[in-house]
Amino acid sequence: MTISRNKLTVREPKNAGKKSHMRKILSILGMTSMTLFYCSLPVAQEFGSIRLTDVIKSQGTGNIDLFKDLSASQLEQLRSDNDGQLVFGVDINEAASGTEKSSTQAVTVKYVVLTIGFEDGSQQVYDATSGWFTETYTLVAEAPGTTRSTYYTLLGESGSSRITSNNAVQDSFDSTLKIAVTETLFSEGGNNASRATLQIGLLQTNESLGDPEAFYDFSAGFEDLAILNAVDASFIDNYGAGYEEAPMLVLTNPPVEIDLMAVDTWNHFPTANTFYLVGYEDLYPAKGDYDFNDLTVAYQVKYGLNVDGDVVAIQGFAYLITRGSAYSHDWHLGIDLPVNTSGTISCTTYFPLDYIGRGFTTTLSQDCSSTPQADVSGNLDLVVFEDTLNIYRDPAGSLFVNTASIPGNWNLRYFEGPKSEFRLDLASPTPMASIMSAPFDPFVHVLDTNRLIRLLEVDPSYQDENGYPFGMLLTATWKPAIAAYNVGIPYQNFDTFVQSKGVTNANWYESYMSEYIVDIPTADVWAW
Amino acid sequence: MNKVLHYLRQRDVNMTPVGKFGAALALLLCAQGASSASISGQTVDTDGVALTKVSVCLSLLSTPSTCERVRWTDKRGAYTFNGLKTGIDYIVSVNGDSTVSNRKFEQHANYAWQPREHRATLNSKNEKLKVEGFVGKFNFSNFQRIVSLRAADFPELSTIDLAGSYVALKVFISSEKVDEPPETIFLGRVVDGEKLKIRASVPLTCSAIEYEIFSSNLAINGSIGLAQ
Repeated sequence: MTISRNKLTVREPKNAGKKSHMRKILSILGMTSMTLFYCSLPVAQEFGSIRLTDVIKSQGTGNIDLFKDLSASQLEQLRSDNDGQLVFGVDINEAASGTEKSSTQAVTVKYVVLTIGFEDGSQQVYDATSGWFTETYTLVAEAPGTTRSTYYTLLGESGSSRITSNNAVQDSFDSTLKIAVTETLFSEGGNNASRATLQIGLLQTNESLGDPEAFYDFSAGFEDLAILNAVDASFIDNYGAGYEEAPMLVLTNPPVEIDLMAVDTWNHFPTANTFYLVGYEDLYPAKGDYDFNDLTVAYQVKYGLNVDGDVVAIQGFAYLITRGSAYSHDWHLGIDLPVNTSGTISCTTYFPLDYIGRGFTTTLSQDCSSTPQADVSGNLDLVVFEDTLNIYRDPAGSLFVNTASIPGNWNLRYFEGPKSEFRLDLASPTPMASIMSAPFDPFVHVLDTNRLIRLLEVDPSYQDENGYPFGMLLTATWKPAIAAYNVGIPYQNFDTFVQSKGVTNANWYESYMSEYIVDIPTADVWAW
Repeated sequence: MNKVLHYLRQRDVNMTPVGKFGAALALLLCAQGASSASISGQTVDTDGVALTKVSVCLSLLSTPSTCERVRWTDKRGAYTFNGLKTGIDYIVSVNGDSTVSNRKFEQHANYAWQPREHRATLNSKNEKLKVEGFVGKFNFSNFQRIVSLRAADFPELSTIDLAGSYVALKVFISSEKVDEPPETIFLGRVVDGEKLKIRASVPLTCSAIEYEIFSSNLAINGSIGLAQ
């Protein structure tokens, strides 16, 4: 193996920055010592992976001419390096819609055909018959059908920097596609490959079924490709970009030992695509105008379950939707856990791109709290948004955001708010039954009055003398009343609902007078 | 002992004489160890009016989310848990049983309850502990409730070889929006029905939780009704 490598004429790979330096060393050491030295070097330093010019295009197909970027000898080196396989890296660039998001996204592979032509005019075709595979597969239905079949998948992520990566290929490519190639593609005086084309088609899944089809769909993104050496291929496979949060992920080569701290499935609250909306009146204990828009927060939580069905992680998102108050708040999420629970937490607040125009000098993310939040020991009490008056600003300088009324033309534009992403990794699997149920304990700390406001169902003492609560949990379709309008004005069935104690008009929040509500867009828009 | 043997004879229990003696001994021991201790209470609204058909859950302090027993309040809003063991820390709560069967018949789902729970320990076999009443307050805030699901809620699972091919379970509810895909609560492989534990957070107006069980050669659709 070593000898044949030394015989090959290697074209300088585009992304092998260390290679020229290595050549200088080799020239100094001379040919005698070269072989021994070469043997001891990692393969990645011998020849690097090569990014390909052609891509999988927006219609979900790619016709990749490998010879635009590689010679036959390079192909042979990479094939040899990967023990007789050509390994392609794919950079997944899917739209973050539905359950796909920057940290996990995927496509489904419908077909792969690699055609290699040789100098003598012959050609070899590698397809499903001869065998190709990726590291993951799942069961999905092709549109417009509903019958599910097994397909290989490609997973990935975007926007994150992999701190363990060693080069640009490892940093940006997400998944691998492997094709066993039995023929030698280059040898001195042999019948060498003269052309090679990879045809790849992605499956149009039936998104109307929701997940898993919606997750494993193809959403018209360009998917970049590279052909990988063994080191990069191994890194990408082991990194498993996007694996953990992907639904119904099946590993082609599962590990022998089961990791009880690994997430196998997720249990979503309320669902994978929807949110709880909670609105607060922050003048507690005074009733105030009862418009319930002093702070409106959307949030969703999911339990990461191991193969035994026990909880090993708790993760979620939250968005600020309205701030109709002169007060500032910290918004917390509390979750009661068993007494001896321990775990590590992370929480990051992100800002919309237009925040530069709102007096911010940067849109870089920051920790949810300026005070480091201690790791969990017992119950979770997480500051998800800190100092809302500061982090949720109106671009026009208004005191309120998304609640003010301009008569006749009040709702010119909805302004996105910051979002926070949080996660608790438990130190040991914890029975689901021992963890507080949804909607958990979403509460506000009003900084100006130093009072807490909780949902009535969490603590019934948070009510006025007539039993009216100060926090109200609603569905994601909720549209808050505009500033200073009692919630009963836009929602005309509300009073009947309250008077009947819930017997009639249980869906009161679904019909409203549009001139008195904040017409916030759907979660598809504000859940950026 | 004679009474127990007489009972077994009367019931024409198909046992050998030795078996009957053993069973009689066991029943006798149980009878001797049984306690007449009880916990009772009442559910009322904020005006003190009795609330009937309210589900009251008795659980152990060590496993607070698991109802050992459930009682439904009567016309006087009263409930009683009889025959309780002594020396055990109990929790009494309203609507603590989140199983489908309980949710189906649940009344006053919009109510928040104060106190949220009672903790009680019985010290003697004859103790009749009456705990403070639960006061239900109408709460228009909460448009969801938790339903706990286990393998038994998906009866088709028991007919499938789960250890063989990949069998997936998808639990979902219909979208509130027209022509939108269903909303996924759980989606994953089921290998062992005994280990399947799911919590569904569903709006009070939701009358059914839907599910699909599927593999490469199987597709089953089902529904779990939440209304009476």
